[in-house]
Amino acid sequence: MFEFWYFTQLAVAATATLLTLVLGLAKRSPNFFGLGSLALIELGLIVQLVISISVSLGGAEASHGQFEFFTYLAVALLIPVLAVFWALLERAYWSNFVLAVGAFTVLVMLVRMHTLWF
Amino acid sequence: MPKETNASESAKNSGFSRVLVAVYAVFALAASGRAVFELFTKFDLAPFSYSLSAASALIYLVVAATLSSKSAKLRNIARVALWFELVGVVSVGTAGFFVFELNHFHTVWWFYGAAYACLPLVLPIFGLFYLRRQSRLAAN
Repeated sequence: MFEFWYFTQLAVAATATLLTLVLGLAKRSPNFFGLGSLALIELGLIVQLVISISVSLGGAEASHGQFEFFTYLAVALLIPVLAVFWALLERAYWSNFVLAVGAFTVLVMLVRMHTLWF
Repeated sequence: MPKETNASESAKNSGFSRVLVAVYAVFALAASGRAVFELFTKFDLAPFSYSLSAASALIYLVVAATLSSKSAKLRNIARVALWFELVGVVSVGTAGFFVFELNHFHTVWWFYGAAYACLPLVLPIFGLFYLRRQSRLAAN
């Protein structure tokens, strides 16, 4: 999983959660920064997928369940997409809170993945 | 009630419902995953353990699907599901104090959902308040 990338993703997800929360409280409609932060999360997860697959092919294994780890990763990849979709159906400031839920969910899943891998 | 206030309250309520549905969808996902996992690993505790997890997953799915609906009939289904959920989380949470054999109740509702920052306890309350406000706004 690579600890360095894990911590980078944690930072991105945490920042995205806070950013979208602040944007929502400031009553801004979903904008470039809010949506962009979710896009960054998605990008990070894609990189994570590539890393995990290549490391697994090289023989490395998750300490607590290879299958569970990749299941979590697969689901996590879907979350930002669904969150953006659900947020954009209605362009009110509430949509930022939907993005925050998505970002926070990925954050929690990353922590769980870390426990599964190491 | 002046029309502008009603419209903005309606918009606020609508936005709130989107966030609730988002959170419920996440819980539906978590509970379903948990139910499937328990189905495969705790088969010997059949069938109560995973029936409870499956029940909670189903309730979350129903709420996520019906809560923000325009149809009053679907919202009534949501209301029933929310009450089931509230009763479920309170009873399973309370049962934990009396039943020391943990395995049967290890669902999302264990200890009032403490593993999930007690959101399983708070969510149905929010959901029911949202539905009440929605009915009041629709009646105006």
